[in-house]
Amino acid sequence: MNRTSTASIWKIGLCVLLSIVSLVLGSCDKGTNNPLTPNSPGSSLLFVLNTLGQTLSVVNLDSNTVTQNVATLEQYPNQVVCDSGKVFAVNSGTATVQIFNANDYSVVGKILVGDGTNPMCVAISGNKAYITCLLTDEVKLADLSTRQIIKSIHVGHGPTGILIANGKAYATNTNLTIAGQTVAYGPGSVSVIDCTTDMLIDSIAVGLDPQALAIGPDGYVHVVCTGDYGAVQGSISVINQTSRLVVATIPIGGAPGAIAFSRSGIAYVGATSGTGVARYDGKTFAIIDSSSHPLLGRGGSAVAADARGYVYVAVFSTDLVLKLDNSGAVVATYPVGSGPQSIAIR
Amino acid sequence: MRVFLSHPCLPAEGKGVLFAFVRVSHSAASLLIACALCVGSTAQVIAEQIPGTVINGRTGSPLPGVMISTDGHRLAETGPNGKFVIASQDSGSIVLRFRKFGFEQLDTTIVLSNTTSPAPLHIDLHETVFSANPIVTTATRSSRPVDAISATVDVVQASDIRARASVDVGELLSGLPGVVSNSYGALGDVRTISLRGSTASQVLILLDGERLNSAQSGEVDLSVLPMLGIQRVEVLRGGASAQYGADAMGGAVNIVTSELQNEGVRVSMEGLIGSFGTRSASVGGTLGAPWGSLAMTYRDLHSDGTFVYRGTDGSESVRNNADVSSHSASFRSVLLLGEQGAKATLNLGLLNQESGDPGMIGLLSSDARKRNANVLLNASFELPIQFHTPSIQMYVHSLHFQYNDPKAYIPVDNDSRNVALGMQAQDKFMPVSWMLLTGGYAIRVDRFSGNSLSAQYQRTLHSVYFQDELNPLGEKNGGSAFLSLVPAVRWDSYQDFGDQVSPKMGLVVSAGDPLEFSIKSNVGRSFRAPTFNDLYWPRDNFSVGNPALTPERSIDVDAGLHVSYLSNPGIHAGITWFSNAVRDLILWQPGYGGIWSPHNVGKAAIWGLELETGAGPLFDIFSFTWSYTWLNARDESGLPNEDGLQLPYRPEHLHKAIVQANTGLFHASAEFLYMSRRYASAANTVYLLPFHTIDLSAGLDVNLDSGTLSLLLTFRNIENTQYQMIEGYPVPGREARLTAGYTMSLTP
Repeated sequence: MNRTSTASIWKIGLCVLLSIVSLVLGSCDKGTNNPLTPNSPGSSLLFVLNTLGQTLSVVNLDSNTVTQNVATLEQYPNQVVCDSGKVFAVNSGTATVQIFNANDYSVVGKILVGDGTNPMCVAISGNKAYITCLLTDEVKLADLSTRQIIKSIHVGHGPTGILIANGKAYATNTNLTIAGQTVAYGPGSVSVIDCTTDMLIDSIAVGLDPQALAIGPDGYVHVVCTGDYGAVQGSISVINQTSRLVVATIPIGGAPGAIAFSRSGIAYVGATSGTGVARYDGKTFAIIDSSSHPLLGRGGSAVAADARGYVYVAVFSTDLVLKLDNSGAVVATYPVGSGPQSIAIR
Repeated sequence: MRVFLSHPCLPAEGKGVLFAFVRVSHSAASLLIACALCVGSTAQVIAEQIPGTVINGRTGSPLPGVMISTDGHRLAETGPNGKFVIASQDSGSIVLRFRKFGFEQLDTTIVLSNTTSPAPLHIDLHETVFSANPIVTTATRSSRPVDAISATVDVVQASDIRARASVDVGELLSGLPGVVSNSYGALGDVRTISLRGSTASQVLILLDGERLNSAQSGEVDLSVLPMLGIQRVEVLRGGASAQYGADAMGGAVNIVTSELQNEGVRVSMEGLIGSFGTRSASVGGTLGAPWGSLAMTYRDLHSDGTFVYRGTDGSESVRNNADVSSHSASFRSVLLLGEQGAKATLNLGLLNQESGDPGMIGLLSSDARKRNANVLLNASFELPIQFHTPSIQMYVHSLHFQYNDPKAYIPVDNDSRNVALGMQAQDKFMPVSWMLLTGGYAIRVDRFSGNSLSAQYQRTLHSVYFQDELNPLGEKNGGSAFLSLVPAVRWDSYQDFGDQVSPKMGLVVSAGDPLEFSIKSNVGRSFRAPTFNDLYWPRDNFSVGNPALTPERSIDVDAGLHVSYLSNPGIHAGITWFSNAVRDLILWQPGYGGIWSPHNVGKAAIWGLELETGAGPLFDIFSFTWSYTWLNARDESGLPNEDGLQLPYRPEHLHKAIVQANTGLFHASAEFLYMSRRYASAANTVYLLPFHTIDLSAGLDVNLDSGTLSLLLTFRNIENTQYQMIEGYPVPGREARLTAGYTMSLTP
């Protein structure tokens, strides 16, 4: 081998070595740090839980601005709740409830609900958090000061939604059962817990697969039942808080999964299929838009209403939140994160 | 003087002259293409055929698959009994080159006379410690040196398998360049791989050239493929549907078992103990004789699998229900029939494995159990006839899977059986020394039965494939110019979703001395078949299949520049650019009533760079390789928050480096892996942290009077790095394994 070829080999070798060094250095991941602008304590905010993106987006309803990904959530986030300046995000996969400051989105802490519990929803009452656990048929009670689970209350089979009203916690029991290889729903029920004693005090039979609840303008608890996604259509079971009896069943149809009441007392019921929003009068129970002819024709994975009279509807498939006025017309559209599943207003 | 006249397309005089000929044994397609491309040399044939035998110089056993060439022209390949016959040559002296992976290349000069018949040749090849240019079969279905094929192929040989102390194929492949090994946890947990940004079901797993991907799920769980009887594993990166049909969009992995054993009787025993309560024992025996060989192996493997991991809150937890217990056995026979080199093989693999399924962090499943009972039976027959090598292969794969979780919220008790029956008839035909035609027909029937789908399903597949390897400048011969062009096409006709045509063209050009530069390029079309689950998932409360699905499609292109130092091919470097435009990706999406179903809606643009360099052997002891993959795998679905972003679980940067030392008696290696962040969500909002691991191993092979004693100590992830490949599924930390083996030769 002559001197020229030897030199060529060394040159090529040197180039390869330099390439390796530059690639090794260049391929190291660099962190990203995008500073977030805090909100003023009095601003009106809409928190959006993006279940596919595993993030929170925030819509400032005063300025109509959207801030994406203000917080990273854990696996299979399912519900967001806002209470007393804090935001609570329930993660079904990692069995935790993350707590953030609603103004600057800083981490306040986390509740470890327990492996294998599959927490679904949370409701806040003072210094206590009531967390439904789908796989253990329990409502776990957490102390928000210590963020520790302090009690487990056995309820019906497969609890999901939960609502606190007048010192009572209402938890929906889906009662999903298996017969051979066939998935079926048993009779749905709502467990009632006394928030003073934290004891189960009643169980109320409702429609098939109850998933969500809201307090109507007449003080009744309206329970959204999806039906069996087939022959049995969705319905709303209306519970009198005093008698703890179902006083009406509204045949809303379809497979509804979310509910909110507007300031004017109209119920907006979101479809699990993402095909729109059904509406009925919260006082007369008269259906305005049925599930077969829903409002919007899209969205419905989550609904919420604010004190100004607007209703917000999440559209899971296109990553949007729609702002509706009292007539049901879309007055604003907010692009949010991937897969908006739950929304909450401060 | 007998003149060899069976060469059908060799012109007697003049270049480029087309000769019409008729041979009943030739297919019409072979005939047409062979003649159309015939531009060969015109030397007058005046010498006799040259017979000979090649043996392993150390063991004396015959060596099959040795490539014989002269002046860059491929002449012959040894048959199963090590024998070969070289066609008639000009009188005078010629230099014959004998090459086989794992053996030192040998050049020998012979003098041919037109008055006397050449004497049979007896060639001894000697084993080498390192080889930078192995012979592979997966890329073109024929034995070719890696540097002479257009595709990117990595090979793990039996010696490497022993040195890595891997207990399943998934573990073994994790160290190879460009391979992203996605593990769901400890031994026995599901393990799949990704090549060039593919999904697991876009990688075709082959056993002796026959597909293992199940028609039900499309994937292969590599943790249930034990290391028994494996001679080597070849990993081909890039689309290969033109050779193997469906699912080879990211590449193909071929597990090769059916090779002839050395002559004599050998009995081997091996024991392994390791961290996490891992222990295994295996016993095997081989019998090699002039009529062929028999090999049997049995292994018993247990692992408690319990390990400590760090949870999302930083606290440590114990991962339970991660045990595995498996019993596996293999039987292989190779029968050599007659002097013509006919070979019949029979391979049987059995696995019975039970393992826990610990579940995801936060959703642990303490009672979920998996059971696999697999039977893999393969029989083949090959009969070389002059320039033809016809073969027929038949196989049965029975994969029985049970999953049981009685305490799940929705209790699961699945029992499914996937059975595949297949037959393939193939012929390799070398009409001229620089052309090898390969064509074949295959039929396969996949049948599913079980309770996870509501009915039994069956899929029948007919395939016809054709490939032409053209080396107009002769075989690759260091220093001289080399050109290889490989057009290939395959037609697959599916009973349930129609026909697919997969063309491909590969090109290699190389020249230079002492530095040889090579340009390699491929362009082709590949596809992935919809699975039974995609098509026929019964309607339940959450999901339903879609019988109208069509296959996922991709156009894959790659081009690379490689340079190697001819005096020591182990000193090499290369860069390859690849691109894969994927269309009609099958994605499950929610529809009316919240019911999820699959649709052909996804698109992705995947491209990247692969860099590789190495040196060795240095001082006959050391070798070093480093590989780097830069992957840009972008979603093009058009969906908000996802379009234009990196696809989940595809690392942008992947480094792997291996340093090895081998003195014959002592061997040691250090492996380094770095993987950048992998996004766990399509919106790129959640990611798994980048990590690196270092594995170390050291071993001794002591030759005693009665056999060889082997000791091997390996440390995996010696820094105890905590990481996850799939969100929510931690993998074990530091792990030590001690392997002791003894191979006893009973032949005097």
